[in-house]
Amino acid sequence: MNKKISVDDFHDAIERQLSGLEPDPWLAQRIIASDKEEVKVKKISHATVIIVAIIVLAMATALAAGLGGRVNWLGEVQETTVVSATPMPTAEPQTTTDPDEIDPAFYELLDYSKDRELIMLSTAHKGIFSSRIQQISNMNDFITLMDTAAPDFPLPAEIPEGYVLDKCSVEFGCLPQGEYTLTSQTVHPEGFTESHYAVDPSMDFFKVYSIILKTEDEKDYISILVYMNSSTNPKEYTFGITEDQSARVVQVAGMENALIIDSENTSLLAMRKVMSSPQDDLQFTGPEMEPMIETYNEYRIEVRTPLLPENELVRVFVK
Amino acid sequence: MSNVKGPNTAPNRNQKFEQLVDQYQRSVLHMCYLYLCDKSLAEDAVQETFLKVFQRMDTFRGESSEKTWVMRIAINTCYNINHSGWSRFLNRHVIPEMMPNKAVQTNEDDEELAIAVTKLPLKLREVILLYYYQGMKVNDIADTLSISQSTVSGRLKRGRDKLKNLLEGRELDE
Repeated sequence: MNKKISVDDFHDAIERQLSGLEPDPWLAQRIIASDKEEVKVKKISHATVIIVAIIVLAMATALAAGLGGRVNWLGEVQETTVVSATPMPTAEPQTTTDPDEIDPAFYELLDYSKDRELIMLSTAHKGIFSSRIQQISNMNDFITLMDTAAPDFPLPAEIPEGYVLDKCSVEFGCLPQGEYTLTSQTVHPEGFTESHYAVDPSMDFFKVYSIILKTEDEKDYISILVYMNSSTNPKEYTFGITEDQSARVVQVAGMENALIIDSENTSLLAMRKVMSSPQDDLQFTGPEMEPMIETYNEYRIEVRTPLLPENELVRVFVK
Repeated sequence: MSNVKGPNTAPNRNQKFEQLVDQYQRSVLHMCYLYLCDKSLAEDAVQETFLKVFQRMDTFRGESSEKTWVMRIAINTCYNINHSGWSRFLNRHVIPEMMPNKAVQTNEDDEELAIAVTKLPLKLREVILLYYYQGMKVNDIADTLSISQSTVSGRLKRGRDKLKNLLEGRELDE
């Protein structure tokens, strides 16, 4: 008979297991102080989030309490001295609508997108839309798709020995050409609008892919993410690093810039490469607003792994 | 438990906010970590959560408990982080080596349980965390997640079943 875990047992086990994860003793004071200083919280639209969340999460380990510093693609580190209430990258705020006003249940609509259908949730100020996402179960299918749909996209050159494919997803965006037709629109009582667009197949273009490799014992993994981006000045674009992280520039064949950020248990290899043919992406910002176009002109690549040595980490991408 | 309502003077308001942070920060941090499987993201989510709490203290009407209100903000914050941009592509894994260092002695069962929780699908994970870790009742969880009580009960059952498969020889008490 199985041993039962009570609510108290569960709570205590988690408390013990995460006992090293300490609360920030100055959190309340910092938030109160930021209010007194009238530090405005930067709110960004989800349309912008689609673009900048990539940047935010590329700095995933850097957002804690303003500690540490920032490092650019060239490895130049700046100590952070300004404590921000909500450290976020430099995106222009476009809305005052609180994302919390959107019921999480509605985001579930965006977890999938039917073929040739684009779903958008929007308030008066912002929108968030689905993309066509395709799950791929083996590397051969992935390579075939890439060769035919996105031959210029950087690909892993070598799968490290002992690793197999765990998951692979590709995302297609919409080129600003062809037709997109509003097929239905529902105004939800919660205060936002759900719109469905039929999309011309010719509008698809390859936008992002993610591959997760794992060891057969599932104890180790490599996460690879490649996406299109609007280029920024490498000197100005920065990654946040915390006090326990270090960053160094490395050379990777075919890449303009490459940086390894090490923390205790994880290495992030971040790279960028100029695209040979920039792509325009169609974006929606709200129900009453015209779609806008974002031009992507570089690829960003991120390889995360908890344990892979540097030479192997760099070799994952040599193409 | 402190009540957010009261005379709306700045010192009073700040004091009450500090009480809320003291009372809930640790459990929100741990819950966010198990939700997001990333220490830095969890810390960011905690900061974002309490910033919202601070900004909305005056509008909290007391229709739900303070805890339900804070957890709702925390869960929504985690949800937004987890569904933003490319984050939805990532299947963040937690392996024993990635767990934060422990300040107290733990055993294999603790670690196995924590890792098993992070392997649950998010919909099941959040109800399991709210019920078993936060000690919330089904009706409060339903309120927090804006879903029906029967949906909460269904997800709890599925979560327990999945954990039972992941935890050899152990299962959550109903």
